[in-house]
Amino acid sequence: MNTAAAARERAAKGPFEAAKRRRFAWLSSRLGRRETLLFYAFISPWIIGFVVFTAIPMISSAYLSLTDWDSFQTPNFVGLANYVKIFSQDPLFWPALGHTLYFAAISVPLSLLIALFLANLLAKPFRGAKFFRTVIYIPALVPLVAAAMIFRWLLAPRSGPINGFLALFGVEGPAWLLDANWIIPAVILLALWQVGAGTILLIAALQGVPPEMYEAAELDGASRTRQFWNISVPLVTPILFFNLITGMISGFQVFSQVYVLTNGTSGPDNASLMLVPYVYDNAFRYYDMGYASALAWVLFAIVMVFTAIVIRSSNAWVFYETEVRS
Amino acid sequence: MHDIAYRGASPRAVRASIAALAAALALTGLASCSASEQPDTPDGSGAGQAENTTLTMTIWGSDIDQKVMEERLALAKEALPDIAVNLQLIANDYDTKVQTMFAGGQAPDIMMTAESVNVYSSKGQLEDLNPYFAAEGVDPVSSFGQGSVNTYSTDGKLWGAPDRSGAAVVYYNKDLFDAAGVAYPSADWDWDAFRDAAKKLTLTDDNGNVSQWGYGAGDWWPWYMTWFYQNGGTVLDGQGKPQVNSAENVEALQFYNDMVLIDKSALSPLDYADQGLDNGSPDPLFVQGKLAMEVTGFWNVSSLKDAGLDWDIAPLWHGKESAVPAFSSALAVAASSKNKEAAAKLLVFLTSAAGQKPIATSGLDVPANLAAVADPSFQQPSWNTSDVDLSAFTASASDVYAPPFVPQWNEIQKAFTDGLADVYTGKQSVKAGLDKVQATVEGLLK
Repeated sequence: MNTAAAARERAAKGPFEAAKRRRFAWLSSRLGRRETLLFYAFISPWIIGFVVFTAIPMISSAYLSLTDWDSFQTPNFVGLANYVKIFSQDPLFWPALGHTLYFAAISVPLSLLIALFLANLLAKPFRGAKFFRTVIYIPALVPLVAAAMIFRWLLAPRSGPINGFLALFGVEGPAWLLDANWIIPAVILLALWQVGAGTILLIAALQGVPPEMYEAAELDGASRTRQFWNISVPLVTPILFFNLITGMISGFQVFSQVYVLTNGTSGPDNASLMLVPYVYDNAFRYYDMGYASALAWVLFAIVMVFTAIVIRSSNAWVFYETEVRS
Repeated sequence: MHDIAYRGASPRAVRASIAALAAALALTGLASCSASEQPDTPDGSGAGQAENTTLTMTIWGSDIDQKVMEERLALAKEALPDIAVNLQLIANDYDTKVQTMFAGGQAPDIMMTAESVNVYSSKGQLEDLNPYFAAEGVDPVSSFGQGSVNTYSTDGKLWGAPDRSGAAVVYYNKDLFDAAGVAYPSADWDWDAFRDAAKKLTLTDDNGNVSQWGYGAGDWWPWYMTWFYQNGGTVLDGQGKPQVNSAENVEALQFYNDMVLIDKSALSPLDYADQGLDNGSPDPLFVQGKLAMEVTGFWNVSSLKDAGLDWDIAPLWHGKESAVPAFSSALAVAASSKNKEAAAKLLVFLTSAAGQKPIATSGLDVPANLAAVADPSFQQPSWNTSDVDLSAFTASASDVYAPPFVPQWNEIQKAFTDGLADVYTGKQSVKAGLDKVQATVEGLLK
């Protein structure tokens, strides 16, 4: 039935008939409507927040990345010039990308392993378990600036405890923060120190593993190591997966750790320059908001690609209890 | 409690929600670069009810800066009763926040500015104040001196009313000087006298490690650029061309670096790192009595007042030429302000001798107005109970050089930080480092 015919029919039956039908329809789906309304009511804070604080800034930054906006004057459209500059003319973009990949490639898997190791130790009931779980989590509560001050002391070239420890083995420790080869490992150390948040999640996951599985394995003669790798690890892979994704994204977005350790210089001589500090410098120190926006979009694309790869790979290694494998 | 996370949800749904979370995390990171932040507005900062015109004004600093500005605005209220001011103290990230206010079309009518003045002026964001000063019958040069006016002018336009201004001075620890039997610093010192004194003030412990240094500087423009200017060098010449790796500059920086690496009388980056400090944070060491001399601005007077040290200040030494860096700030009017006339009128008052008096009486800073500096309220203030020689700030006022506050000023400083990082550690020669800085700065300014 086409709409014109429907309109004619409604007109023929008169307004009263139409109103009755509407009333009936409303009654029949009252519950559904109510649910729909409630759904939107409850989700609206997020939707509004997303639109105002994420979607609109994203769209504007996409547009600004095609301009020469200096954050003061009217932006001029420059096409893809900013992107061309990133990939072919900027002497700092490729080093910054390389440093960021280096940092993420080392710090993310290491944090996962350390978190899993610590969680496995702390998940079991023992005297003082709560105390040690708290201790492990404390670094996550220490403000980063304070942590960086502590790290400056720890990493001090001639008087610091880390190099003092290395000296016990006859190793002469580097001047961490002053040496182009050692500044990124220093940043990684600071990142690893904050492994507590991931550990807490893994402790919860490990405690969620049904004990009857361990009992059954023990009856079958499986060793502790075997139980760990064949029961504990597969059952916490969803949490490992979650930690991997969030860790990878925050690894690509590393900012504060380098900023506080190098006092905002990304030094020595840009040896620790990462992508987000570079975006920040361009936007707020060099007043090149258009270029900074383009850099941010390149970073966004890189993060998306890596995230997609990891999510794709998860089929092969992430185990869900409800999942039936053929 | 045997539930593992996500039990009951389908794997597909879980993966989808993790993907969504991932995207949201990635996006918030980007958005945080562009999201506008509201400056912290302290309570009760307004200087009264609006009657005719209410102006907004942003300043950086701490509570004391706010208190002094409120005092000055109260004086202004008596002279200009029609103008009310909504004062906003932005304690952290001032530049970023003010930039965001401009970007969002919410520029303050009046802003405190300093090194970034020409970022704003070159982008047409500031109002030329010369006509307003002329209308009030005030001559900026005779009020503030040529140096201050030059710092805030380009092409004959005055972009900021000089507000606070003090030459850098030498802070020295009298006890350490007395113990080493070295005469106190003075403007008569040349480089050799300075180097000699620094050597004598440097002590080593039994293991051969330096335990007390003569001088502490590092990566900050008032330190390295002053060597250039004192040696007849410059950073940008009269035509605005970079002259970073000139023979004068190489010689000048070599002199300082020899103190760091050969004499070991000036702190090296390694020395700072051993103390858990950045290259160029002498203050804590001075307070600990491990450092005999440092060069910095007025602000250390108040922080050292109660440090329990016997210290004083002296004017800076000289090289082939006298050149002294100064730390100043100015008040500027946004070109977009709807009340430019009122704003400029207010600035003329605030930078008059009367309007600047609270800066002096509070011991906050050196007023930019020459009459306010000459006033007993600055020279013999009641807070100066330890008889600090405040004339040091004015003695070298005529030797103040104007650093190149061009729009690319932040990039130029970064070029020096990057290019000289390996010079201070001795991994690269001074010449190679300055060549690198020169190349970077040429790229910035072309």
